[in-house]
Amino acid sequence: MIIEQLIHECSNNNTKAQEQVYRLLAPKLFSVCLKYSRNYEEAQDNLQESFLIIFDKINQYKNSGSFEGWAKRIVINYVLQQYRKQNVFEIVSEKIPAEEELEIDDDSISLEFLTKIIQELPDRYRLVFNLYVLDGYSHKEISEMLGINIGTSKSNLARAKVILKTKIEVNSSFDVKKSK
Amino acid sequence: MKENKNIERLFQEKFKDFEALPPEDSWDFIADRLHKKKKKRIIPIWFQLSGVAASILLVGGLIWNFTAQNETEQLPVFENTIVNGKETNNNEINSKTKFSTDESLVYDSKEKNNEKNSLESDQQNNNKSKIYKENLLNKQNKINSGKTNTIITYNELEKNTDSNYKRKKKSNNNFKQQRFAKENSEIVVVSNTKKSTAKRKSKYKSNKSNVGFENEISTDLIVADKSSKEQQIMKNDIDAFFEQTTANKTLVTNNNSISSETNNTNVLASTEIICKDSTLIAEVLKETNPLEELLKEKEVGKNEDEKEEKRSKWAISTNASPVYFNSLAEGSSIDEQFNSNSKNYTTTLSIGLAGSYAINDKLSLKTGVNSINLSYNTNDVVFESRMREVENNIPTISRNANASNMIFSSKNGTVNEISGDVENVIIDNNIGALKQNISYIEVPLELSYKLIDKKFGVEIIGGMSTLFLNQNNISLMANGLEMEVGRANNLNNIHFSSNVGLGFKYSFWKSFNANFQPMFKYQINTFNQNSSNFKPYFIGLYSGISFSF
Repeated sequence: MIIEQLIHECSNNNTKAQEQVYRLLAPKLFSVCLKYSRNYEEAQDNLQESFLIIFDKINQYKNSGSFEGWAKRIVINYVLQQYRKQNVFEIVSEKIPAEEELEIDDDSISLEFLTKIIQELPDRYRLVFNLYVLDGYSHKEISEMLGINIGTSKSNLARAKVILKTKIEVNSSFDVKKSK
Repeated sequence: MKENKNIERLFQEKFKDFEALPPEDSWDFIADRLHKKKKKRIIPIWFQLSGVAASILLVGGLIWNFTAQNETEQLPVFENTIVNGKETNNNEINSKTKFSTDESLVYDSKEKNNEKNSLESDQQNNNKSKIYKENLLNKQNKINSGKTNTIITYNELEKNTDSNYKRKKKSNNNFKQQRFAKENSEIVVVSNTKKSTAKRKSKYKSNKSNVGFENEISTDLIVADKSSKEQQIMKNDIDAFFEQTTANKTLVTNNNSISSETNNTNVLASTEIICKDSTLIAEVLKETNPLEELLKEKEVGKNEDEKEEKRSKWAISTNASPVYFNSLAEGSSIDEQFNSNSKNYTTTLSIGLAGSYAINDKLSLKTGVNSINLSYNTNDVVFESRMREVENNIPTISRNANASNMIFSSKNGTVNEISGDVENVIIDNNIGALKQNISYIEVPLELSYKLIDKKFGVEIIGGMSTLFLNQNNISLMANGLEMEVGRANNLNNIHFSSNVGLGFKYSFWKSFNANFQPMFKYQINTFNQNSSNFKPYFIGLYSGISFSF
């Protein structure tokens, strides 16, 4: 009820309502931006541009589905569009490395560290990893979104996981040393 | 605790409820850009709106729009409620009568005097305001519940961060905190610079003194600020952070004294940022109720609107309407003998111009000029043509030269008294229809009372019209031919009608409204002689566009 009212006001260009919507959504959308971007500054840029698009197109939001979900899709689409412009979707070898389980102390890993290593991933690995693992898109959907084929999407994901796993392992061995 | 974990699951669990506060200047940037965009897009928005309005008119989406507007448009009415509050109490007994009956009374009001009308509409208004009041109460309840909810969630968050802190103490290494993501990242920046400066030589002691200094600052902050819980968390964070940085430094070796100074400033900077963030969070806590803000906003907006309305007291409008002419009682305006004859009433078109003046927010006075044409056929009329002039058997018709040798009679009661006359044999009896065609210039004077005055509006209209006779003829229609036979001499040159109706408007663009007004107009003293119980009325569905200024 409240959110619908706000949305309506936003479509009338009510700045106050727009700010309210921003306050409501920003933490959630910024977390998305952090995951999908190369670093903090880029995440901030992506957030701002995405919000401009959201307010511009808010009257296109039909009350089906959640508003948050709609806004999130706009963010993701915007980010993908940026990388499409930058032409990062070049073809790489599609061999899929075998997956291994990771032995890890769950509590010892900070969300921050995980965000950092996601940001450090090569662009397309990061996008595929985010889309598949964190936002639940299928390889088929990802292949369509990024204009790559399904095999590439799968191999990108596997490579991303290998890189992440290595970094986590290095980090935790570092922890072990430190605590000794 | 170590366990085997799929890397996907690890990330999924960690990021499940991940939220991060963006930097504060982000909103300023967005607001700035939005503002610029608005300025640029003024004209395209007009085009869009008029396009939308046109399509809405075409599709007839008025009803849809009404429902869409309903939810949001209720808000400004609260103001009225407050203003009318006293009245509502006074008239409570009155307003106990059901709303629906009130409305039906209003519809029936054609036979009631004006005083009663206004009384009823008052009642209706009171009832409405009562309903709105209830709505308002409900809304307030909702608002309250919303408030507590958000506060609860924040409390939960605080608890969460508390428990997180316990875990942090164990590991010393990480400090997971969802709400303070920005703060964290700032600290990371600081700690990074520390690492780089740490490559220069320094002593462990200076670090220690830093820790002490830092703690002092943070405790000061706690004393200064009253929101203890949050500050505690912050303190904990700072502690944890320092435990971490000191740990890092033991590994990477030490700082020199110069860098320790920069450290101090860094620390100061970071604590400042933390402070800023905590106030930010406090602000967010205060502002958890966007609806409340909106209400205020709306009230302000409403006031502005009212001012605007006051400025636009005048309005001009055009209208066109199909006119359905009919009689309340079976009768004939031509002659008694045609009373029982069947009659065809023709649907005609009325067009006109009108101007209105708003006396106050609710009442407005409207006048104008309409041209209106009424016509009806009396069927089954037997007409006879004689070779010579015959006496006029219908006194209400002034026959013209063509018709001076004709007589008319009803088929039902006709007796060919003179049929034996040799001269009349030549011409056969015929059956046709008499068509009476009257046109008027109508000058209405109507008072309208607004029931709903939003983007979509409803009003009740009552008043009278003065009708000036403009055209008057009677013709005979038979065998596909029409012949004018004369004019009616029992029509008054000026007569009146009493009007009641409903008005609907939809404001589609700025001060332009689309209007639709079904009106019932009952004719008074149309005829100066006995009109054989003919009680004419007409119904017009006036639609048009008005412009207020």
